[in-house]
Amino acid sequence: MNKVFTLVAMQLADKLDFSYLKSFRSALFKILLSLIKFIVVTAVFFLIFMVCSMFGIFKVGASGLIDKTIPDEVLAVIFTVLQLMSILSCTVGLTNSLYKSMDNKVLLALPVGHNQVFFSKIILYYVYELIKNLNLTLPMFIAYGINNGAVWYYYIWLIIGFVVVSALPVIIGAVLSIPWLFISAFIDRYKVFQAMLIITIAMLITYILFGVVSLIPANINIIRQLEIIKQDLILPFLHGFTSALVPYYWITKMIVGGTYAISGNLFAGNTLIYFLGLVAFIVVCFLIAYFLAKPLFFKMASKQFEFEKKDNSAKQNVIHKKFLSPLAQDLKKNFRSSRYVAMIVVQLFLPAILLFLLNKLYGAMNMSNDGTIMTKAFNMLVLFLSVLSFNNEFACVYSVDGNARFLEKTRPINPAVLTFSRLIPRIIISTVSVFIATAFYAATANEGSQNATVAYVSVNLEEFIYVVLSGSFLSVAHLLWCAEMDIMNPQSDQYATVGMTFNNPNVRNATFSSLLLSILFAFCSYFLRPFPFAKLTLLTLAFLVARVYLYFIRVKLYYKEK
Amino acid sequence: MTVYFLSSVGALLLSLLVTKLLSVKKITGDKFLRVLKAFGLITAFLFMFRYMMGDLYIEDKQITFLFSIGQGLEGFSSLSHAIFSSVLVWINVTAILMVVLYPFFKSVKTLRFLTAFVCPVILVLNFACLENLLLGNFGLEIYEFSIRGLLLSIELGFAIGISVIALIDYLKSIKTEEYKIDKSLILCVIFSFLGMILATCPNYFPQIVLETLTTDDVDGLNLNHRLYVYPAIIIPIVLYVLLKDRSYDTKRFSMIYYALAGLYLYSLTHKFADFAYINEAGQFIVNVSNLPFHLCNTALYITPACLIFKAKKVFYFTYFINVLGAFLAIAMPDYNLDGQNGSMFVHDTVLFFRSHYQAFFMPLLVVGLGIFKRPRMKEFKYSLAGFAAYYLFVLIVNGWFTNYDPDIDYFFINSDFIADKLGSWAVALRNLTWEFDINGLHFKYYPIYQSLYFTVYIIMSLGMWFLYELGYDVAMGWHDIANRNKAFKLDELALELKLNGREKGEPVDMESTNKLILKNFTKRYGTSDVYAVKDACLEVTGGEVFGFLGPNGAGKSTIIKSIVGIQTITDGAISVCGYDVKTQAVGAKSQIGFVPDHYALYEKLTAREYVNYIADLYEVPKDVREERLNGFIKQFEFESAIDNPIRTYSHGMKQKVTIMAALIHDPKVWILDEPLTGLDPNSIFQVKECMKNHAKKGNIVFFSSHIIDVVEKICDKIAIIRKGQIQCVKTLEEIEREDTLENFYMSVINGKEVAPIKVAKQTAEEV
Repeated sequence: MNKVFTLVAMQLADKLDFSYLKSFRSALFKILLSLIKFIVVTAVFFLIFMVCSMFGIFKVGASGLIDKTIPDEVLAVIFTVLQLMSILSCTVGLTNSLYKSMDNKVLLALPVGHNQVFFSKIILYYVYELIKNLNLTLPMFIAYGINNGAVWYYYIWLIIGFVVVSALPVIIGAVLSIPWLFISAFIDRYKVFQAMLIITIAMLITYILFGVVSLIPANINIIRQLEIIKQDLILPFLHGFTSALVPYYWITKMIVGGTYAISGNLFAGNTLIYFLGLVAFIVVCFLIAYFLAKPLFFKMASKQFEFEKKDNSAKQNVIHKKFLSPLAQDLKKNFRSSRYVAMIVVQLFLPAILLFLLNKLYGAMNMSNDGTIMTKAFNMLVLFLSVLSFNNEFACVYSVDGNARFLEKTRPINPAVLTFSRLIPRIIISTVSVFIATAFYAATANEGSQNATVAYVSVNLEEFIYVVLSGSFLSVAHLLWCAEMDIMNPQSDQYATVGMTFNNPNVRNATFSSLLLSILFAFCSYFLRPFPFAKLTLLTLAFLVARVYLYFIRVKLYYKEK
Repeated sequence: MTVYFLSSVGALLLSLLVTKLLSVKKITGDKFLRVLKAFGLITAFLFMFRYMMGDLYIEDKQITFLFSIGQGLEGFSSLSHAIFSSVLVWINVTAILMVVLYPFFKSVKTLRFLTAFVCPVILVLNFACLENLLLGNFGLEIYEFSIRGLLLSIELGFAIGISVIALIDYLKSIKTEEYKIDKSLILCVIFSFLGMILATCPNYFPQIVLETLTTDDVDGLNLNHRLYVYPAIIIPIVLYVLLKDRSYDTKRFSMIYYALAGLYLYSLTHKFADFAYINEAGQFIVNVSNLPFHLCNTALYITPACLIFKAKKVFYFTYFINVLGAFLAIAMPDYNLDGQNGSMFVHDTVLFFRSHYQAFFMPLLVVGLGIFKRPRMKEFKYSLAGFAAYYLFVLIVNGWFTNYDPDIDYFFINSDFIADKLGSWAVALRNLTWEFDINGLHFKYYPIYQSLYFTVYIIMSLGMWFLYELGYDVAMGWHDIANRNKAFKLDELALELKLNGREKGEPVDMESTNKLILKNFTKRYGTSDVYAVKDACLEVTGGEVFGFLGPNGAGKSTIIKSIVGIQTITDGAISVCGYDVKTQAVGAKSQIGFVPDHYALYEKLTAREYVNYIADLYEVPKDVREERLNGFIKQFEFESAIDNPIRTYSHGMKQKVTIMAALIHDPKVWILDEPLTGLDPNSIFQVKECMKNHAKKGNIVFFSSHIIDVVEKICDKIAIIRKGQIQCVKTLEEIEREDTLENFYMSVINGKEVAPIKVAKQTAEEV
């Protein structure tokens, strides 16, 4: 057991940053900061619950199914969605970590059993899951408790509950990672099948989304129709969801119990049964994982170091011009990854789908003058958020090469050409994506304007051009900023040793900057009246110019030494 | 009036007499300066005393209105007369400030010039129009005996004296470089004077001139409000740009001047009598509502005091706490219009914004210009402690003074001004009160509201800290970029000079086109205490296989990485076939083929694709490329593997791909960093043959290795490095005349103890 914990400690020290423990001050600062973040997240959830309570969105009469201001079912739905997402991410993450990680080369060669390596990685993921729950899910439950007047020992029980619950998606992910490895290997091997799968999934998602959109009535008046929406939509959905995913509803009930008021009954009837059931399920999954892993893990983990030898017929040498060669090689590398192709499809169409959905909703509403102006600003926010979010991975665009990044510095070519060529495909994709999204936005907004009280909600040609331009400028500027982060703070060592990185500070900063920029510029589109879009275009252009300058000057002055 | 003239003349003569006495006794330099400073302080004291004793007569808020309705101001025959008098008062203050500060900032050229040439003109004009000056300041009381008038006259005399001394001093030294008058000085003087004049422009002056233009309220970020908000951002930027490259004294003088000017203007409506007075019954009355206890009031007093006395700890209080408060005040103005019509240019509006400008951007400028250093967490904690003390003080004072004036509201924690803006929830919180009596005085507090107010302010101050840190990081980033760009341009200029008209693509040193030269190459990583390599000198000629030996961490890889362009050079120079590695990086790299110690390849590409990619970058023609690649494929037995992805290769195969890529363009300099690690014997043999053949063609092969046997067999020359210093450079022949290479190497490595060279600590001057 000691060896397992040593392995866990070693991997944790490599993946997470514990430098703040070196001094009391920095540790205190880190704790205070974490506490503030925790309080802020709790406050945000509390506000959301408070608003829902104020508007009585979920409240029904005493005889109805739901007799609290924020019923357990709502929490169960949110919790279930978060858990399902966790299972998905744990499955994929564990598949990579268990079987495809470069550090297996080192770990498997150590004097430890293979299953000890296996479990050390699972424990590592458990720690990540626990941290994630502490930062996100636990605050939500605390806010829920405050809103519903929970008893004091509810909060202590939450901690115990989450220590156990955090293991659930990890252990399910561990079990599912085994078949998923074979499935993903199969998909990787047969490119045609891969392409067909991507197209099928894209079509399915589009079909579902359009189906959902078609359910939106022609006229929506949320305030007046709240009761009807509650009775016909919200409550049946909650009921249906919790009936379909009963185990997660039980887990939620296990955690929140019957917390009706200060004198509430936390440990009502089935709490113990649910708790024991959960523990039993985790144990069973653990045993399945153990017994499957024992014979299979080493074989699966070492597979990444085995390659079939193929006898290929000699191919031609392909010549490119000096300045186009980096771009050509980059495209070659990228298109050999199925993930890349899938991401292009998502990047091109997701913003468009989001705007389409949003404007279908808006089109069904009667809005005031201010409302129509806000609608446009909100469209900008969604457009920017969705486009910029795909730039975040470019905060490690050069570091992913690992040691090869250093070798690139020896090439007899201006480093700006090498570095910028990496960004060209994304620039093209994001510009096209903005164009498609704006086209969808304009089409649905103009269609919806028939219902609107004023014609302002529609998008004319001039506005269309401004939106495309400002979206493109902002996206390219943010992309350059992300790439700049990687130049100034490279994480090549992590990628060189492990093949991936956890907790990449550049990606974190890129995510934050995308959020900030989206909100800021959407804000501008609301407040810079008159001619908000023209002004927005000028502002985004100025931002782009500044970022272009900073990018190239930083490549010129810093690239060599970083 | 005679008394005033005589006292002014008397003060002038006294100052000149003292100067003459000092000159006769040959008292010069620092001692003379101390006397001059004493005069300056006396002048300042006289100014302060007579200024704070009572209101300014000309500062009546409705001069134009009074004249328009035929009432006028007693003593003035017309509006123009009143305006002339107010201009005299204005420029008098400007000149007084300059002469008072002159002895303390003699090194500031513009101040020296202004005090010598401009101040005498202003002050003499003031003297010539003394009656109007006195009238504008004190009104009709000057026609009876006025203490204030007397003090002003004496003050004027001393001021003229100082400016005359400055003039004499300037004229004596005018031939020296420092006192020379040239175009740039004149330009600086003009702009500085304009700035100084504007800084002391009285708050009532815009109203006198522009009253007909007064319009709507200034609030709610309407156009009028924004016209006041934008200067809060523009002025500090302009001041920063103008002052950032000036000397420390110039910056400090400028900040002190503006701080004092701001304090002067604020004090126009905050005299001694406004704080406390003795009433007709002989009682001492404190005007509790007028005491300068508002947060931004404190900034106006603290900032100049901190600048003058260099009180850093107190200064940071204004930096963290006042700046935030001032910003909020500018964004949400609250000022008393006294029932005046129109509000854009009235005295109170101008006073409100100017005072808050000062509280907002002065601390930022002071730190931005480097007058006080960037604060650390320690200073931030002190400022929070200071704020806590201030808050407690204001709580007590508000509760106490409300007994005398129910409108008392220092720091706005007593009234519902802020709560109203926040909404009903804040008003509801404020309705929870705590009341008690002490000694007949009633105290009323709003515990939840006031606690929340304090907490939120602290959190916002913490936000300010993060904002400042972000600002510093950005500013330092820009500063670093500017410095590096400058250095880059200097290097380019030096290269142009060396090339002497030749193309940039040509080697700078035409005589070394077949050499690899290191001249005093030095490398230091970041801010480490020791040099990784110090003063390394090497020369390798074409046709040589050069071996580079040394223990782990000796500096071999450092030198190699600097040659091939992976790392920067701290000092010295490296030249590859005549190209300087630093300034002609692309040219130098085009001559090099590099095999690193650990292959670093794009594993998704095939070997063929990878080698072609490298060949593209080196612009190898198609036919040459194909011939060479086919040769390598045969030589390294790559026929079956060349079109498989690199990730399927063994270590040895990957190393061979790296070698192929390094040789595809037939480089003049082939650099290998421990290339034989992990290779099987056959591969080692192949690589050695490659190296020998490459050198035979007249090229340089430069490689580092731990395997002495290999070095012994193929090298012509070797160098041994230890702890960052090259110990020796010898040919194999020279070594083997006396001993084996292994023994020689061991004797060098285990010989006399060599300590790593530490970086010398920078002197304070260098810093």
